[in-house]
Amino acid sequence: MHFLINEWEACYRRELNGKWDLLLRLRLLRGKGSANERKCRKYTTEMAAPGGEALATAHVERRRKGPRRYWEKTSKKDSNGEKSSVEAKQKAKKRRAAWRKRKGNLNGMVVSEAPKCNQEQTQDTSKKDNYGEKSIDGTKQKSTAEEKAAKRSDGKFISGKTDPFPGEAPIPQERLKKFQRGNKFVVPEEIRTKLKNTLTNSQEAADLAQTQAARYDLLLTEDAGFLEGDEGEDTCTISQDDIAEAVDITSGSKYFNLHLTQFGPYRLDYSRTGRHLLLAGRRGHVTCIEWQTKNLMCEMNVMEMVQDIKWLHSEAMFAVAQKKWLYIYDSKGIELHCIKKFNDVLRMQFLPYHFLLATASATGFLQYLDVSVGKEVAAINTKLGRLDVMAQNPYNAVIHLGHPNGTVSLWSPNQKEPLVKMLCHRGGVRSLTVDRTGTYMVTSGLDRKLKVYDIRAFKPLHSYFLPAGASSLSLSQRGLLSASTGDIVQVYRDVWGGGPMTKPYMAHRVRGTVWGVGYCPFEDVLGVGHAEGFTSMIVPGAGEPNFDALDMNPYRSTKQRQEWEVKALLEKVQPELISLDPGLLGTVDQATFEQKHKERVEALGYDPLAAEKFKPRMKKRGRSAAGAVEKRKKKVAHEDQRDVIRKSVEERMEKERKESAKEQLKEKKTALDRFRK
Amino acid sequence: MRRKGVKAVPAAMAGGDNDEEELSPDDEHIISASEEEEGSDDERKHAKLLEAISSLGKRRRIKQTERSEASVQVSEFSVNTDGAGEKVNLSDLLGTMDKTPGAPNKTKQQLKNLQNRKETLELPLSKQQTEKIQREVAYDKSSKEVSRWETVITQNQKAEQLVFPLRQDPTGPKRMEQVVAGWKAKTPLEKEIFSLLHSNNQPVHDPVLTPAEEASIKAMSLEEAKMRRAELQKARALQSYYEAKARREKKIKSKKYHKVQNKGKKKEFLKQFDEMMKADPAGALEELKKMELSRMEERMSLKHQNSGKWAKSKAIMAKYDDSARKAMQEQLEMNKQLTQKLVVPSDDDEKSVEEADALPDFVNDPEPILDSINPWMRGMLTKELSEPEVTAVATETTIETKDEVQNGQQEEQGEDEEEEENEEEKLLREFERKRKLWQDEDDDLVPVPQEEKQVIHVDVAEAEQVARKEEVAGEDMIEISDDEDKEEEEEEEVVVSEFNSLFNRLMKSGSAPPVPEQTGAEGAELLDEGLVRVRNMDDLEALQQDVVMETTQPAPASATPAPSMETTSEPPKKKKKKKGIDPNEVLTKEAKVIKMPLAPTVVDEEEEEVHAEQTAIIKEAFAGDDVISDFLKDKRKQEKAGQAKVVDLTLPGWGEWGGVGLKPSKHKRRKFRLKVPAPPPRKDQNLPAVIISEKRNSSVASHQVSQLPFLFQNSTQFESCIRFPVGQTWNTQTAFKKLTAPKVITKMGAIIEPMSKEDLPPEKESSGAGRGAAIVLGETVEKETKKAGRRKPLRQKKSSKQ
Repeated sequence: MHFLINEWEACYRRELNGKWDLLLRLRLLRGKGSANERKCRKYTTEMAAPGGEALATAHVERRRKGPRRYWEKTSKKDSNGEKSSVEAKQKAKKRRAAWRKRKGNLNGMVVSEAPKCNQEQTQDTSKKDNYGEKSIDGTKQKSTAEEKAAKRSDGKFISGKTDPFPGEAPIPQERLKKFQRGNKFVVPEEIRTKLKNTLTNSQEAADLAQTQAARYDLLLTEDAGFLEGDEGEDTCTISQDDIAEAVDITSGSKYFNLHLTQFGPYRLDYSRTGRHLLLAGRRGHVTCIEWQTKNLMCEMNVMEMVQDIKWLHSEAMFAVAQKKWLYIYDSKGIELHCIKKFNDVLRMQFLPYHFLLATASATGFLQYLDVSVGKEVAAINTKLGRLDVMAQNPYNAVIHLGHPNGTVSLWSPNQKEPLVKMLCHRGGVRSLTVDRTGTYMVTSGLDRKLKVYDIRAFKPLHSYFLPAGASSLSLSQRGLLSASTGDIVQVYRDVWGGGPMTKPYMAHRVRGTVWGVGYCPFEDVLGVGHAEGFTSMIVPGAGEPNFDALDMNPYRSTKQRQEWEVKALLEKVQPELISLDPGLLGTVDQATFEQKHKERVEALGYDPLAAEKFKPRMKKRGRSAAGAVEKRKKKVAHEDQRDVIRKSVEERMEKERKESAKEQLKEKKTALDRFRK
Repeated sequence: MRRKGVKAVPAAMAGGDNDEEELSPDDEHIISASEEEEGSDDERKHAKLLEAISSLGKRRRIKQTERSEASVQVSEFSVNTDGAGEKVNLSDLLGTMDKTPGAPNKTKQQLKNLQNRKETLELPLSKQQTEKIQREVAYDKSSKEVSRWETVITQNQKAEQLVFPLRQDPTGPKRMEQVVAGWKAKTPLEKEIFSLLHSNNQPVHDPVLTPAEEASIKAMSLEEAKMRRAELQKARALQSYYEAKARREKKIKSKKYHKVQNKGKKKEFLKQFDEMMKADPAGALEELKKMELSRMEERMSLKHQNSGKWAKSKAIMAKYDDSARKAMQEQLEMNKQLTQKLVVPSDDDEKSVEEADALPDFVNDPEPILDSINPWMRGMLTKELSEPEVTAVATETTIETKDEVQNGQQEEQGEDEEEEENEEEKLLREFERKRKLWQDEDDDLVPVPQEEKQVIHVDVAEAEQVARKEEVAGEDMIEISDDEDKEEEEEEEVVVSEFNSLFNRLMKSGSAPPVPEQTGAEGAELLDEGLVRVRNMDDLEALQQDVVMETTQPAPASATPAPSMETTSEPPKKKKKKKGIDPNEVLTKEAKVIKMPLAPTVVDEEEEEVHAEQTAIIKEAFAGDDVISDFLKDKRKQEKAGQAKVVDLTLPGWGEWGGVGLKPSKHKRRKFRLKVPAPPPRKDQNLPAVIISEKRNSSVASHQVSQLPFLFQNSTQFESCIRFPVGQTWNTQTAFKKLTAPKVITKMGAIIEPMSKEDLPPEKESSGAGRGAAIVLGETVEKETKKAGRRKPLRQKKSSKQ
C-alpha cells in the first residue's frame, strides 16, 4: 500500500528542521537567473529549478495562490477568456511563446493568468478595498500570527479593536477534499457512551489532520508553466530552438541532442529525483549522466544486446536487461550482480515504495525482485506470450502489461492470474502508461488508436485515431502525454480533463525513430531516446513544480540521500499489500472475521454480537396477557426496516412536495392565460 | 466565669437535660450576671452550713426499705404506709422552679411543655434498629462524600491525556512572597533597595500584577467553560424533565388528586401573593389582572350558579341532607368570591400604558406571511400580500421581537399558572437568570459600529447585485433599484440596524427570554435572503459568486463554452449524456482523428521497423474478428468457472429398484441434488470488455484485522477509526503529535500523590438546594441514558446484522 505523499509537508518540515541550506541555495540560484530574465523581454520564462528571484515590487500585489495541479479541472471557458485578455494585451507583437514556471518572476509584465487565478484576483481587489495599501501577500501570514498573539479570550485586541475576520481562516472545500481520507463516519446516536467517545475522538482527529494538511497547502509556492501562442498560432508549431532561444540560459541548456549513431536506438530512464539519466543503446552502450551538469558518471559497452534499463531506488544502482540475464551495476559502472533467475527480460519497472523490480520477459514470465533483500518475490507465468509492453500504476503498484491480442492485463505479485484483463485494441497493444494518481491509463495499439481509460472503473473515456499510431507513450507528473510516431514526438495536454483534444500541444521531430520517451521528474523536460542518440526537449508545464523533499528531493546531498535511504527502507511496503485497492489494509478481513465469529458462536453457544430479542416487560392488571404481549411485541417488530421505510417515505414526500411547488409555480395563471389553448 | 454559671444551673434544676448545658452565650451571661461573685470554696461551705442547719430542725428521715427483688411473698412489715395517700406529681417537683429566680426562662418553658404532655414516652428502639438507622445515615454521609469524586474520575477517564502530577503550579508571573518564603533582605544592597521601595511607597508585599492583569490571568479557564456548558445542558435537561412531569401530571384523571393539588396550589398562591404585594408590586398587579379576568369569566358563565345538574340534585337533597346543603353553600360562596370586584390602583395602570407605548407601533402589526400557502399562518386573513420593500427590513426584525414579546407573556402566564414553587423551578429560574447574564455580556462585546461596518460590507457586494435585485424584488429584503438610491438605502439600513440593536437590547433587558429563530424550510429561505453577515473576505467573495451564479443560471445557453477551433465531428449528444465511452462499444466506437503538424518520415534503413510495420498492417487487416471473440470466450469461461455448481449425491438403486434403463425417481433427485447458493454478481457484469478476477486476495489477509477489538460493534465503526494514517509521513507535525500523544504523561522526578480533596472542583455554596436537585437529576439522567442504551443498541445491532 502506498499513500500519495504531499509535497507541502516536506517543505514545511524542512523549514521546521532548520535546514535552510536548500532554500538558501534556491534563492541564490534564482538571484542569478534574474539578470537573464531582464534581457529577454520577449519571452518570459523560467525553468523549474533555478530562476530569477522575484523583484519585490513585481509581485507584492499579487496574492499567492495555490498551485494548480493537473488533476484539477480546467474549464475551457476560463482558458478562452484568459486567452482573449492576453491577446488584447499584446496585439503588437507578432508571436509570443509565454512560458512561465514561477509566478514570482514575471517582472510585472504578465503574460496570462492561470485559469484558477481568475477568481482569486477578484478577491484581491476586494480585499484591497478594505485594507487600503496593505499588501496581502507576504504580510498576511505574519499579521495573522500577531493577531492571534494579541487576541484575548474575549476576542478583542489589547488596543480595543475588534477582529474584522474573527475565527480561523476558512479553507476551500476542494482543498479539504484533496486531503480527505476515507469517508466520514456518522457516529450514531444510540451506541454506548464509551464507544461513542472513541468514535467521535477519532473523527475529530481525522478532521484535524485533514484541515491542517489543507492549511499547509499554502506552502506550495511554485506554479507550473505553460506555453502559449499568439492568435492564430498553434503551440505545436513552435520549435524547440525558438523556445530554447527565448528562455534563460539555464533553461535553454536543457534542450540538447546527443548524437550517438553507433549503438542506437536508445532507451532511457530518469532517476526519481530527476537529476540523473540512464541511456542504453540497443547494441550495448550504457551511459549514466548527471544530465543537468552534463557530468558523465559512467559509460561502458556491455557487448551484448540491451533491452531495457532502469534505476533502482537511488542513483547508486541501476538494472540492465541484457540479452540473456539481468544485470545490476552501480553508478560507476561496476557490475554488482548478474541475476540468472531473470532471463530474457524485455521490460522492467521499479516499484519505489516496495523496493521491487518487476520484469517482463520474452518467455511470458512476470517476475518480481525485492532489491532490498535480493530475493525473488514472485514469478508468474502469464501464458500471454512475449511481454514487451509494460507500465506500473504508481497509485497501487499494480503492473500493467500489454499483449499482442489487444488486451491489457493488471498484475500483482500475489496472484497467479491477472487481477483484471481488459480488451483495449483490435490489434496488439504497442504502448501504455498510467498517470501518477492512478486514475487514468493511456494505451496505443496497432490499430493506430490512442485510448484513455479511467482505470478505476475500467471504462474508456476517449478514443483517438492517430494516423501513424503511437509507438511509445509517457505521462508527465502534471499529466502531459507524449506519444511518438516514427521520428516525431508529440505532446498532448488535457488528455482527459477537458473535451476531446484535436491537436497536439507540442511536436518535435527527432533524427531517428523513437525508441523510448520519458519525462524528467520536477523538470519541464522530455527525454527522447531514438536511433540516432538522445534528445532532451523542453516541454513547459510538464514537471511538478513543488517537490516533497522527504519523498524525493532533487537537491539532496549525499548525506540526505543516505538518510532518506534508511527511512525509505524502514517504510518499505511489503509486497503482500499490493492489490487493486491500496486501502485494503484499512479494512477488516470479512471472510476470516465471519469464520472466527462462527467459531465463537459455537463455543459460546450464543451469538454475542446478535441483537437482543425484545422481551416484553411483565405488567400487571392483565396487561401481560398473551394478546397484549403480542401486541407489544408487534410494536417494536422490524424497527430497523421501519426506519428505512420511514426515511424513504420522507424522501419521497419531500420530492413530491418540491414537485408540487414547482407545478404550482408553473400553473400560476395570468389573466391572459384564458386565451391560451 | 462562664463555666461557673453553667455549673450553677444544673445544680439549681433537678431534671435538666444534658442539652441545656450548651446554652447560648447570652443566657450564660445573664446567669453569670445574676450570680454573686464568690469563690467556689465559700460557696461549698455555705451549702454545707445550710444543710447542717436544715438537718437540725427536722426529724430524721426514715430510711425506707426498698424492694430489690421481685418475690411472691412480700413482708408486711416492710411496707410503709406513710405516703400511701398522696401521689407525687411532676408539678410538685417543679414547683420550686418558679420560685428560683436563677432558672432560665427557656428551661421553664420546656419543663412546662413536658408537664402538659399526657402520653408516655416511647420505648427506645431496639439495638438492631438503631444500628440500622445509624448505618443508613453513615452510608448517606459517606456516599455523598465519595460521590463528590465521581465527576473528577469520569473526567479523568474521558480525558485524552493526563499529566501527572495532577496539580501543577500555574504558569505565569508569581508574587515574590510565593517564590521566596521567609526571605529577608540581608545584604546591604537589598536593604537599600527595600528601603527605597518603602520610602517611595512602592508595593513590596503587594501583588506584582495590577488588578486588570490579575483579572486577565484569571479569565475563564477551560474547566470553567466546561462547567458552564454542563450547567446549561443540565438546565435544558431539567426543563425537559419538568415539562414531561407537568404533562404527566396533567394527564392524571383522578379528580380527587386534582382537587387536592388545586387546593394546595391555591394555598401556596395566596401565601405568595401576600409576599408579592410587598416585594414586587408590579407582579402583584399582574396577578390582580388575572383575577379580574377570572372574575369576568365567572360572571359570564353559569358554573357556580345553581343551574347545573349536580346543583339541582343537591338542591333536592338539601332539605334532608346536611352535607348537601353545605356543599351548595360552598359553591355559592365560591361564586361570590369569584365575582367579587377587585380594587385596582389607578396609577399603576398608567404605567402599564406607558410601557405599551414604549414599544413601537409595528409590534402590533400582523406578522408578514411566512408561509404564503398556508392561510392560517397569516395574522390577518385578507390583506395585501406585501408591504413596501423598504420597510421589509423593519418588519423582518419585528417578527423576532414580537415573537419574543409573545413568548415572554406566555412564559409569565405559564409561570403563574404553576404557582407551585418547587426546587426544580427555582433551579430553572436560576439558570435562566445566569444565561441572561451571559448573553448580556456577549451583547456588550459586539459594539454597534461594527454592525454598521457589516452593512457597508454588504453594500459593496450589493453594488454588483443591482441588476439581479430588480428581478427578484418580490422577496428581497433590501431592494435597490438604482445606483442613486443606493446611498439612501445605505443610510436607512444603518439606521434600521441601529434601531434593531437598540430594540433588541431593550427586549433583552425586559423579562423576555431569547427565542429560537423560526424553523422550517420557508423560514430558512427567508433568512438566506436577509442581511448577510460578511465575516471575512472569502465570504464576501462567496457572495459575489452567488450573484454571478444566479445571473448565469437563467441563461445557461450563453454559458456553454464556445466550440473550439477544429471540433467538427463532435456530436452534441455525447456531452450531454455522459463523459466517456459506453463500455459496450469500446472497440467499435468511432475514434477522433488527431491531425499532426508533422508527418513522420518513413525510415527505410531499419529492416526490422519495416517488417514490424508490415506485420502491423497485416494484423490490422485481420484485427477485430478473432480478438474480440477470443476475449469473449475467455470471459464466458471465467464466468462459468465462478458459477455455483449443483452437487448430485443420488445413489442409483438405493432404496428402490436399480438397473439398466432405470433412473432414480424425481423425488430422490430433488432431495439429493444440493444447490450451492449463487455467488454475488461479478464485478465485471456491466463491463463487456473487462474480466475482473473474483479470486480472494488472501495475502493481505495476514496483515488485516480479522477480529473486532473490544468496544466496536461492527466493522464499519472500526474501519472509520483506522481510515487515516497516523504517521509523520502523512501528517503535519502538529497533527502527528496530537494523534500520537501518550495517554499519560508523568513528570520526571515529581511525586505523584493520590488525589486530594483540593483537586476537587470547588463546591458551590450559593445554591444548596439547587445542587441537591441537580444531583438527583444527574441520576435520573443516567437512568434515562441507561434505558436508552438498553433499548437502542438492540435496534442498531439488528441493523448491523442485516
